[in-house]
Formats: sequence, structure tokens, C-alpha cells
Amino acid sequence: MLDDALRYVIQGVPIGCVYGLMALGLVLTYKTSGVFNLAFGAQAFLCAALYNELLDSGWSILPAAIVAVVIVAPLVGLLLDRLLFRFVRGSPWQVKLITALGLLVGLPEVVKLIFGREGVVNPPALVTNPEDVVHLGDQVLKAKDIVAISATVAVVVLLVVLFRYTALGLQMRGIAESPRMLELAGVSSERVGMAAWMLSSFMAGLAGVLLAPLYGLLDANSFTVLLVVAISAAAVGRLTSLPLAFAGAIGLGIAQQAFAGELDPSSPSELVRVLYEGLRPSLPFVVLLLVLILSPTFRNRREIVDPLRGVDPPPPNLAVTYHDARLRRINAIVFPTFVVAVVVLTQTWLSALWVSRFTDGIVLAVSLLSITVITGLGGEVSLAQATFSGIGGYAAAQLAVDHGFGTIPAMLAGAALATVAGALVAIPSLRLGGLYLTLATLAVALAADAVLFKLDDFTGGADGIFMPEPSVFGIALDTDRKFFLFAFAVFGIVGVLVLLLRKGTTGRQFAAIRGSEVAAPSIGINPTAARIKLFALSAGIAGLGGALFAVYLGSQFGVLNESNERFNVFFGVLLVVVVVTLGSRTVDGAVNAGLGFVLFPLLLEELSFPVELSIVGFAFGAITYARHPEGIVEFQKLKSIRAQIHHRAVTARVRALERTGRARHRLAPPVLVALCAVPALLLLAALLVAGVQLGPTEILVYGLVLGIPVGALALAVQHEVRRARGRGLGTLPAVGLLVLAGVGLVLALPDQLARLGREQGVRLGLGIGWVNGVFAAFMIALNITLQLRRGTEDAPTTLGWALMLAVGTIAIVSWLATVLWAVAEYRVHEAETSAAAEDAAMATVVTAAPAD
Amino acid sequence: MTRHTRVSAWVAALALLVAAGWSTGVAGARVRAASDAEGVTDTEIRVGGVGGFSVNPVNLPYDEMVDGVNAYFAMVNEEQGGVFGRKLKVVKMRDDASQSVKNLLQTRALVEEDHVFAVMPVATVGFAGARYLTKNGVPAFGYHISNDWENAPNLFGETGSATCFQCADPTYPWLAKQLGATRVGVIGYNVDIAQDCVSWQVKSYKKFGVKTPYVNDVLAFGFTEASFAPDIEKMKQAKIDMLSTCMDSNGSLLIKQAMDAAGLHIPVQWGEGYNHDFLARFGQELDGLHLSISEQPFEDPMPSEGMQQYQEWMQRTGGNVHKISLAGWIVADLFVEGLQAIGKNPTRSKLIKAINKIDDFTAHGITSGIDWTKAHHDNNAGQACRAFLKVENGQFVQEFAEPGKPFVCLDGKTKSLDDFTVRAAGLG
Repeated sequence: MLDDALRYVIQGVPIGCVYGLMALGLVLTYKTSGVFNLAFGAQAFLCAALYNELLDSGWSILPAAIVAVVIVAPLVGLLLDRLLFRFVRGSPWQVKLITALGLLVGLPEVVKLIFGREGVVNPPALVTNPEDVVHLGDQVLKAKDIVAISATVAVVVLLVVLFRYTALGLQMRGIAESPRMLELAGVSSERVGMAAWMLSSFMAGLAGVLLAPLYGLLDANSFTVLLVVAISAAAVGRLTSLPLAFAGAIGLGIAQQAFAGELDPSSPSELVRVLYEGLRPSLPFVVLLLVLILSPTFRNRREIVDPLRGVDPPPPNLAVTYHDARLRRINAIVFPTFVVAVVVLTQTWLSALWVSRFTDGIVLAVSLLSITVITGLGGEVSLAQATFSGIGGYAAAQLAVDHGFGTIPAMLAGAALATVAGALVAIPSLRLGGLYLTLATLAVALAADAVLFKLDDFTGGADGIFMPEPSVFGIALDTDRKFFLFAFAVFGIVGVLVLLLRKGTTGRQFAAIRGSEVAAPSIGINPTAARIKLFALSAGIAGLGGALFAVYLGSQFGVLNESNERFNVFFGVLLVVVVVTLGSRTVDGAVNAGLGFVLFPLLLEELSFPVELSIVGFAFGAITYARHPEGIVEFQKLKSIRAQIHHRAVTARVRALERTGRARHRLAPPVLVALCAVPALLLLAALLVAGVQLGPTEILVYGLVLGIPVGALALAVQHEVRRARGRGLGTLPAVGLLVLAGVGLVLALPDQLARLGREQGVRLGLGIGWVNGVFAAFMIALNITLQLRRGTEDAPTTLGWALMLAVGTIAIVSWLATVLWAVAEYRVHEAETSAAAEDAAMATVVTAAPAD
Repeated sequence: MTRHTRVSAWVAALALLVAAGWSTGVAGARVRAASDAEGVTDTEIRVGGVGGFSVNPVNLPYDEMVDGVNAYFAMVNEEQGGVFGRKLKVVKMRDDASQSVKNLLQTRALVEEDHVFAVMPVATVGFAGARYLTKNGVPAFGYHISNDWENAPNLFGETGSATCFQCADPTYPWLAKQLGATRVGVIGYNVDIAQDCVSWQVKSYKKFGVKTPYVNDVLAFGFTEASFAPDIEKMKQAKIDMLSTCMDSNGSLLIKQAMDAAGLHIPVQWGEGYNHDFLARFGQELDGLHLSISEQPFEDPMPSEGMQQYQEWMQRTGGNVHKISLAGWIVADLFVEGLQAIGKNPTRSKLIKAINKIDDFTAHGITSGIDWTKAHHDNNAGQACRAFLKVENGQFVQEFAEPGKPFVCLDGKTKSLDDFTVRAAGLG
């Protein structure tokens, strides 16, 4: 017995050190920045990949390790701090978490783009003879294990010394509590924060090069799984204690070995087999869940909050809440037209394949509505939504196949089961909140992947569940077009329910708890019941989405396989990132996310760009959550509505001045507006008669050559406007500005570009017009060239047609908008100037008038 | 907004909808049935492939399969001027990122947007587009890794299309017997395809009296050598004298390293591992490894005609000599053989019929032999043939073979492991 225990210790310590190194890095970052850095594994992966690449290029171990771990790793930390995390230091936990999630998803894809797509097998260790062994009784330790153990112990000692005995350590602890208080003590919180990030990133780099050889494979998923195991250890250390986190990691390593040693996989006992099969791989996740639920530390503590931070402002109002009569009138016409247009197009013009692609996006959007509910309405972040989708999907499939349920009853039953699962997850986690609840959902999702989705009776195993053809009210959904209508209807119903939920009492309760969990009970809201409702509802929607996906897959493929990628925990993380990027608070945000997720990679593929760019785009979009928690699209909508309202108010004032004869403004001639539309119309016509086959080099070459004259036309408009104001530009600087603006706009977000000039509206509007004009010119140039080169045999693809239409339409609309915007700005400027002059003149008159 | 405006908007919308319904009928009536000879022009026959290129869970270069196809097409186009005057061309390769839904949509895109005659090569872990292709009578050729290929007359894998985990395979116990092993451990990941493989091997060993005292089909991905130590203890306790794996090369290598470190030096049979890039990297660490394949090994001192052509044209077209590109070459050979059999006016249905009449396909001596009259549901076709290799001094070395005769064949229903033949490609 004692021998066994000793054996498990010897076997468990190396793997425990592996977990420990990661856990220490997590705790360090959390202690010093308040950021629970879920991207730690991704940083480790980046450095390990670089180390491997350098060795492959002929470098020897030491210089490669120095470059990867001592130079690049801290540099990455420095960049992360300067470019990202310093802006979120005083932000709510969601902001920090979502920023880290964006990196978790995006960094590995960037690494793949740089170093290649395939995982590296048996990556090199930090020692020349990693397979050399040292015997400890009848047990052995390899050289690479010993290096990992030594490095981990050294890091623990260094960190303890740093935090206990140095001023920097004390400052690092202080910055997590309150950067402002630290500043009051005369310490630069910026400098300390920077140092902390560089140190933790160094640890990530060290962990990367040490751990990759132990796992025998250098790929992003290994590091992410490892990270989650490390989170369990960090939780043992209450996310703040380095020694306890380290001890937790070692304990976890030993426990796993004991588990593996004491349970026999070929045991005749079903219980032993189930325990071995299920619990061994999911032990760290179960430990994490138990620690989070049972530890009074987590139950009674909120995240680190800066006492000087003040109260978070409420999230900005949604665009839809602006009660503007004109907008409502427009919406009353546009929305039904849009719905009908979608139906008409999908039933007539669009090819069946495109209809199926849109169906995929809409089906996904139903699941994404669950994130709209839990994150957008409730302010919580759940990483288990894909798991709830899986529960709904597999359950619906089983009920349809084994129990003869119809399509809709099976879907509803699947959703109901997912609802129950959501409530079951919520109940033990009730006292948790914020970050800890998110970690609990991550543990649940991983445990479900390791256990629930491995049960053949539930998932159908490798053969899968053979789905019957779906039918609704006796109508077989046997074509793509019919299934689209069904999915569209399901999305419509769930979308309306979410809208009603948001407007209704329950939604307001969620909003109140999101605002202040302490204040909410004072107005009679029960946070416990509300949170159960929130989880159950969102899980139910996710389950319904999963069930719809199962039916969709059944209608297309006939089989729902085990552990479908759409139900995987990593997919769940990705979904959160995608929705948050495009708008987690609105129903249309879910549609944008669903369609964007499906269509964006297609677009990239068609343009011959790497498809990884789509993930990178979404991931780095999520990083903007700090500035735009409402999502990029919603932010632009809000901005546009505010601008419209502002312009209308000023225009009304101008008209009032006109009526009184006090205005001196000049309108741009209407013919100018019309002239601007002509090239755009010609572009569209040209696009429609030609095909689209794009390649990156062609875009660059033809775009540069032919984009300039077309863009120059747009520039002429601006020139006219400016000339009227007496500040015209010469031709050469104008063309130069055009090129710069085009490049800048492609690279930067529109709102960032707007900072470049004082007349933001004009510049932004014209800039967008230029880019669209240039882009449209790319299309024409390419098509003409390709048509000449390839003859007429290469007819445009459906995607090509769609692209042309989209680009052409955008070109027309934006060109018109550009000019109208410029004119409106001009009118506003003139009106304000003349009004000010009038006021000044009036004041002069009043002042000069003799007193009666 | 007034009630009148709202009602007007919806009435207009509904009117449009009715119009749409009408035009659907018209449009539907105008839909042209896809031609059985889609992708065939006077000068070309166009194919396109799909696979897990951007994401590959088994870390194999699936994108290299098209190199084999392109090399074979280059040979046919250059030496024979194509097939009946038509050049063969791979017009598009679509990435499914190893996702089932994406595979389905990309497969459809090949047919509906790229208008290919056949889908080739297919290299993916989840071939969800299979049913669609079968329903539409489109032939597909590719790397046979999942059971999606089974029981469909239009799907052609490089080793056949059936995956029978219920059928005992005598070559596994035969190898054990040759190596003097009587107690074999079998290990695999806790994913269903690996678990099916484990139970298949166990069944095969047991049928011929080989004991399997250690069976572990619940190993999770992402283990380390150190975490595998308790399993080594169990292997030792079970006194196994050979280990057989149902895992990827990386997992198998980790296990072998852990066994070596723990002093458990027994023969190991890998289900997957004939990978020269992998061998080049790990060399002697793989010594003691045994594996078997369905094709003539590159190491055979008397390469077949097909193997010589493959090596030559891979060099000429700049492709990587690898089992994946070899698989592409084999299916391209099958495709061309089928085209040549159906004459000057190729159609999909004629091609499928023609290939399903070929009863001894060897890709000119590369594969052990596939009887396509049965290979959609029974790969063995009454025989189990494998070419055996081992790693010695960091090199693959053929076992139990003679020059030009790489395959060990046993009758699929044999009860005696002594009843085997060593022969060249071909079922005859």
C-alpha cells in the first residue's frame, strides 16, 4: 500500500509540475492585473511554436530558448499590456474575460498562419538528451521531466520571494486591488502593470517550451486543455495563493495517477469501468467544479474590484430604443420588405446550395440567441452553451429515432431537457457569480465532453444516430428551400420570444441584477430565482438550437455523429467570441454572428485568403468589447442613429433661420449628387455583366492601378465642397490623401479613422465612399482582365454574383450617403457659422444701442 | 407610424410573397436537371476535391493527396494525351476544416458550383457529403478513413470502401504468432472509431487463441508519458508480450517511449505509422515497431510498374512521396481505368458501373488487390492481405516478404494461421 502511494507520488509529481507551472502563471496574472488570463495557454503555444521553428532553422537549444522565452515572451506580455489590458484595468470582469477569450481564440490561429497549420509531433525539449532516465527505485524519471520539475520549483521560489520580500512584488499586488490607490502612493501603476505582464508572459513562454515535449505534440488544443487543468489547481489556491495553487497542482497530478492505478479499465465491474472511463479524464474538471461550489472563498467573494473605480455606467441604450418617428416609419416599411425579400430570394433566385448555407447560419443563430439571453440580458458569460446545444440535439435525435417523436415534439423535448440541465448547472452555482460562474460552466462543458458525449447510448457512437426525414404538420422538409423556411420560422419565433423577454418583467429583473446584485433584492427581486431562470432559459434556447441543428443535419446527411464539432466546448468558446463581436444584446446580433460565422470563411476562401483569418477577425473583434460592449454592429447603428437625429435637429434649425432670412448657407448643387451616383451605377452595371475571380495579388495590383482614378472622382466631390468653403486641395495632395485614406480605412476601424481629422463626418463619409469606389474598381478591373484572359468559359459563381451585387449596392448607397452626408455637414457648418454671426451682430447691435 | 401605414406595408409584403410563390413555380419548372456528364467538355474532364486542410485532428498532410492525383493526371495527359483526347484536371480543392456540416456544404459546392464530373480526392475524417453524392449519383474517390464510405456504389476508397469491425482479421494474430507473442495488450483512445478498432483487434486475436489480458480503450487525448505510468504497471502485471495500438502515431510514440523508459521492451504493433516524415524525425526511437499496410512498401527492392511510375511522376511534379499522396495516385489510377473502360462519351453512371465491374484492381501492382464487385461491403473479398514492416536502426524494413512479393495473404475464413501465402499484388 505504502509502495503504491510512493509510486503514485513519483509518477504524479512531474505531471503535477506541468499543471503547476501553468497554474502559477494564471495566479500571477490574476493577482497582478485582475485579468483571469485564459489566453495564457495560447501565449505558451506561441512561444513553443517559435522555439520549435528556431530549432528547425538550425539554431541550437540555448539561443533558441533565450529568444523564445527571455526576449519574445516578455515582449508579447508587454504588447498585450500596452495595446490591450492597460485599458481594461478598472473595467468590469466581463470585459477582462472577453478580451482574454478573444486572445485565446485568435492567438493560436495567428501562430498557425505564421508557422504552418499542422501540429508538431514530439517537439524538442530544453535538454539535449530528453529521453535519458534516472531511476528512483523501480520508477523512472526522464531528463525532460526533471527539467520541468526543476524549472517549476525555481519559479515558485522566485515568485514567493518576489511577492513576500520585494517592493515590486508588493506593488504588483497593489495594482490588482486599485491602480488609482497605487498612484496615490507615488507608484506608477503603468510601469508595475507592464512588469507584471512581462513576467507572466515569460512564465507562459517557459511553460510552453517545457510542456510541449512532455505532451509529445505541439498544438493549440493541448495547451487549452492543459490550461483548464491548471485552472483547477489555481482554484485550489483561491486564484490568489501561489503556494496553494502549486500544491493543488501537485495534488491533482498525484490523484490522477492514483485514479489510473487503482481502477482497472478491463474490470468486469461496470462501475469501475465507468469511473475509469469517465472520471479519469474529467477529474480536473470535476475538482474545479467542486472547489468552486464548495469553497466558501468563492461563494462569498466577488472578483477583485477597485474601491476607487466608482460605479459602472449602465450599458448604452440599444439602437432600437430610440423612439424616432421617422425611423419607425422607415422600419415599418423596411422590415416587412426585408422579411419578404429573404423569403422570396430563398425560394426563387438563390441556388439551393446558397439556401442551405443560409440555413446553416440561421440554425446556428438560434443557438446564439442563448448567448444573447445569458450574456446580453443577464450579464453572465457561459462557456457551456454548446454543451446545452448538444444535450438538446442528441436528445431530440434519440427521441425521434427510438420513440417515434415527430420533428417538433422531439425538438421541444430536447429543449426541455436542456432547460433542466441548465437549471441543474445553475442551482449548485447560485452563490457564485461573474468569473467563477463562468469557470464553473467551463468545467461543466469539459466534463460533458469527456463523459456525457462519450456515452454511445446517448450519442449513437461512431455509427451515429440515423435520423428520419424531418416533417412538420405532415409536410416533409425534403428540400433546402422548405427547410430554410422552417428554420427561419423557428428563429423568428425564438427571436420574438427573446424580444418579449427583454421587454417583460423577467428581462427587467435580469437587467436589474446585472446592474447591481445587491440593490436588486431591495426592489423585491430574488436573485437566486432570477439566475436559475436565466440559466434555464438560455440553456433551453441553446437546446432548441441544438435540436434544430440535429434535424438539419439529419435532413442533409441523415446521421448525427458522436461528439459533433458543434457541441464541443471549444466551439462554445468560439461562439461567445463571435456573438460578442457582432452584438450580444440584440437578436440581429445573433443573426449577424450566425451568418457571419458561416459565410465569412467562404468569402475568404473565394478570395484565396487563409480561412483562419475569419477566426482571427472574430477574435480580435471581441477585443473591442472593452470599448464597445454592445458589439461593433450595434455600436455603428447607434452612432448612425445619433448622427441622423443630430443632423435633423440642426437642419430644422437651419430651416428656421432660412424662414427668418437669417441663414447664409449655400446648398451643393443637386446635379453634383446625381453625378456622383452615375459612376456608381455604371460600376454596378459593369459588375453585373462580368464575373468575379479574385486573388490577393490581383487585388493589390489592379486595385492600386485602377482604384485611384475611380476614387479620384469621389475626391472631386470633396474638392467641390471644400472649394465652396474656400479651402480647396490641390490635385496631387488630393490623390495622395485618397490613397492614404483608402489604405488607412482598410487597416483601421472607421471610428478610429475619424480621429484623424476635425471634420469627422465628412472625412469618414468620403473615406468610406473612396474605399467602396476603390473596391468596386478592383472588381471591374479583375473581371475585365480575367474575362480577357480566360475567355468566357469561366462563368461567375453564385458567390461571385452575390459579391458583385453586394459590392455594387454598397458602392451606390455609400457614394450617395457620402455626398449627402458631406452636403449635410456643410449645411450644418454654414448654418452654425451664419447663426453665430447673426447672434454676434445682434449682440453688437444690442450693445451699441443707446439705453432708453 | 399609423396603423394604415403598417397594414399597407404588410399587405404589400404579402403581395410580393404571393408573387414569389408564383415565380417559385415558374422557376421550379425551369430548373434543368444536372447532366450525368457534368464537368466533361470536349477538351477536359474536371474533378475537384474536399478535405480537412486547415484543421486536421490526426496531423496528417491531407492536402498532399491532391499531389498524387495531379501527378497521375500529369502522366496520363502527357503520355497519352488525356483520356480519349480529354485532359484530366483538378479544378478546385475545398477545405472543410474537418467539420461535418462544412464537408457537406463544400461537397455540394463542388457539384453545384464548380460543376465537377467527380469528387476527387476526398481526404477528411468525417465525410458527411457522402450521402448527398450517392443520392445524386456523383462518383467520389478518396482516403478511406471512416465508415461513411460503406455500402454506396459511387464511393471509392484507396483500400476499398467497407469498414467491417465485426469481421475478424487473421493478419493481426498471424503477426503475433510470427513474433512469438501469446498475450497481447490492445490500447486505443476513448473515441468511438478507436474503440471499434480495439474491439475488432481483440476479436481477431481471440478467434485464433491469442489472449488479450490487457485492453484499454478509454485513453483520453492529451496524456503525457508520465501520466501513462500506471498503465505500464498494469501491462506488466498482465504479463503481455506484445502491444497493439489503435491510435495516431504521436500517441503510439509516447506510449512506446514510456514503455522503453519503464523497461518494458516488447514488440509494438501500430495501427497507424507508415510515415516517412515521422520516421525521419524519430529514427531509432521507433525501433521495435511493427506495422502493416495494404500497399506495396516504398522499400520493396522490386517495385511494381505502378510504384515506379508513382515515384517518377511525383519527382517530376514536385510532390512529396508519402502514403497520403500514394493514396491520391491510387484513386486517380482507378478513376482513369474506369474512364478508359467506358469509352468516348463518359457519364457518371457509366463510370460507376464500369468501376464496380473491376474485380482485381491493384493500381498496376501497388495495392494487394481490390474486388470492386464486393469492396463496398467487404474489403477482404475472401482474403486478408497485408504488407508487413518493422523499424530497424531507424529504417522501415520489410518483414515476411520477398522482393516483388510484399503481401502476406490469408483466407478470410481460415481457421489456421499456418495457411498463408506470400505474393505480389493481385487477387488472382
